[in-house]
Amino acid sequence: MTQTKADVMDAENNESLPAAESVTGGMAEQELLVAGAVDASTTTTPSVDGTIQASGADYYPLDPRFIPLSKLIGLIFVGVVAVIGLVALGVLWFVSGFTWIWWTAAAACVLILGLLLWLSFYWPQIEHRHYMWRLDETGLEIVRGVYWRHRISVPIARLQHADISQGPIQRQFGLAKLTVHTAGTSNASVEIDGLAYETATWLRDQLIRQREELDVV
Amino acid sequence: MSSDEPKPMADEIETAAVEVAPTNDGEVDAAAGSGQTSAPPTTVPSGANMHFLHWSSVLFDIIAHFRQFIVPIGFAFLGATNRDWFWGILATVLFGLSLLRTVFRYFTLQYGIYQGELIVKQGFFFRSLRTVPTRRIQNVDLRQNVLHRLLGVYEVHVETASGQEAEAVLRVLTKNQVDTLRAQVFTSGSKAAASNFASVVSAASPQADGVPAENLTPIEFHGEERVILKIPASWLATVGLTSNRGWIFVGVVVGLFYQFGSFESMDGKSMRKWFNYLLPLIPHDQTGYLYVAGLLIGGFVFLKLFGVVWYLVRFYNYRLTRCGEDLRVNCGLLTTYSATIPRGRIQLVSIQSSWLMRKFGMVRICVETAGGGGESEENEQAATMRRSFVPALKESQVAELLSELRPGLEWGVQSAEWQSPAKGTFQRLLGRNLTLALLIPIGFSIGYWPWGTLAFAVTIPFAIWRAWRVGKSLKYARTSFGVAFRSGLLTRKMSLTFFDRLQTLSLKQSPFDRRWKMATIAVDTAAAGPADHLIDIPFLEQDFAAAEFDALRHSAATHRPKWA
Repeated sequence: MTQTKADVMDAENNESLPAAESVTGGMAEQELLVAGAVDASTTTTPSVDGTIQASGADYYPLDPRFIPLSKLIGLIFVGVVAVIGLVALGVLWFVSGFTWIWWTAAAACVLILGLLLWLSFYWPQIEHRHYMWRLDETGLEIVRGVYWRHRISVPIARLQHADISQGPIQRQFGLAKLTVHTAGTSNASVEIDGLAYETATWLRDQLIRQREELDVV
Repeated sequence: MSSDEPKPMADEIETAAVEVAPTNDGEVDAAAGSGQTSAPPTTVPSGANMHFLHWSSVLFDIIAHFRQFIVPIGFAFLGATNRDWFWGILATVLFGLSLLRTVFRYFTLQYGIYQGELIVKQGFFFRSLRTVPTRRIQNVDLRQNVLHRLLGVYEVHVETASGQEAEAVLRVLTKNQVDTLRAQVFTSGSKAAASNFASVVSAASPQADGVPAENLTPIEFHGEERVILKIPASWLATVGLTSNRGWIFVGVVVGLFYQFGSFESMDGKSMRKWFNYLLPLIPHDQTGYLYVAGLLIGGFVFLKLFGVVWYLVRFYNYRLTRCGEDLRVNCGLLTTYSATIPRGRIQLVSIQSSWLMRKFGMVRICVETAGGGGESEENEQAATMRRSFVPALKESQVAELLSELRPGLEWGVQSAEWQSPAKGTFQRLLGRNLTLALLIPIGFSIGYWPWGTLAFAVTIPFAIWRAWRVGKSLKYARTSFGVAFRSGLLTRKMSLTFFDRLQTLSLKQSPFDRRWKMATIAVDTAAAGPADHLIDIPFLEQDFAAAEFDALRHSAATHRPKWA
């Protein structure tokens, strides 16, 4: 389903669509993930609560490389926490030796690290499953959030400008973050973090083009 | 994997704006809306006719920075009493330096309008050149306090849509300079605005200031300024009576009390000393109660009186007029305020009334406009202006006034189809409130056993009552022009925003929302906040909310914003 949508967009714009491959490329496994996220009553249209049927275009998930990237970042974070914990335990040992306080603290450290490690392995999949976007005639829509769910819609005409940014690790994974700016206050900028770089540029160009078409009319 | 560096859009647009802004308006539009000023080249384009501010600027600059010297001067006085001149000398040196800086700034600051841009040149060693495309300028606000009035000058605030800060503050200009500036801003800017500034255009000739003649829109006389509303003093007094302004005065007094010295050590000991000093003044018999009661009543009357006086002074001779597409507010007894708000810039209209105001059948109207929503000192007054756009109005006149704020805004509270929150709202609120109502008195019960348990008798009914009333107070409506939202128990607020003002739209569900099959719709507009009523509609039934979300999404897409 997603594939056809991408093809339609491609045909409409009569130009090469680098995003098409990357969006549809890993579709076999993505479809599974998307399908898993959606309530049995709906097809491929997830929504805030899982029962609301979203009309029109289908949603695209983030790039699958988002998952290993998030895991890596999670691991780095765990590593940093581990180092801090070790230093703290070292200081505590220096101050008081191996007392029961030290053992309690050590146990707490191990517990917290274990929990973080577990989260950093499993959370990215869950997050990826609950994070998707779509572009239709009204504008850009983003659905995200695992517990606190959020569906945000940016009408095309409200787009001020769009940025693409890439961190050093993201660059290694070929991912990028698309930031869409509006004149709003609390949602002055809306982000999609974890798109393939090609998808991000394609989406940005698409947004700009759609807005320019509006301006001409 | 791509080795290409991503090329941020913003950069492209901004360079484009700098390069072609004067000749090609379409390109400026690309950077439009957010009111971004282009990255400045540091030389004034030749041909631009630059002006100095009025000479009294130096004086006002010093006054504006006087606050910085209060502490050194205070120390200087303290020092002088001990024949210690160090602080005195330091204060003098600081003041001298500041004076020099101010004079220097006066001679290095120039402004002018050239080819559709307001140019403010500043500095000598470190030069800065700020260019604001005039079509981005939303308001040119004037401010005049007593001293300004004596000298016949105005403080001019130039605001764009960028929101938080005034884009440029010209402190101070003469009436003539202001008129010329306004005329130029709104002739080289949008056409719509140009035609509305007919009445302030003086004899000054804009061509002389380097605006090419072909850029000028012919000034049409769109009729005279029409008075929409004059607020009689009796209304102001009523609203002043109901307001809590007096408490702000108390806050200021307490603040000064702590700041300035003699009561520095307001600890328990000195408090008791004061108390012991005051106590004998109160007779120790039956009349003592009368004294205390009198004192309390007197204090209350004073607070209320302060509110009345504040409103009368601040909004003295309030006049709201409309001239074409511009709304203008003039008011003030000591400091006169004059604000121009193009009505196309209004993002949100909020009708608010406190419990006491409703008893008198009064409301107040706030507006949010892009630009000037900031928190800073400079903008506080502009914010007040918007928070109390119409400080006092009879409830029956609201509909009539609203129709002036936006063309085609025919609105009656009764005419809307108000949607109440979902069924479980009362239970949900009750659950939340009861948790607090049960937790808080526990402390009392332990501290004042057994009578402390009586606290439950207060908190539990209150929790139930509040849950009931809050559930009743929340109302949402989608109308032909946009979104309306009502909330509030004591201070009731009803805010309207418009499809073409809607920037982003959110549908939110917390885990609790999901359990109760509810959702929140939030509407984001530019410069939201001053009206203190965000359109964030909780406890909607989830299917209804999703349907509304889609409907709003489509309406927002079909109603395009007009920036003119």
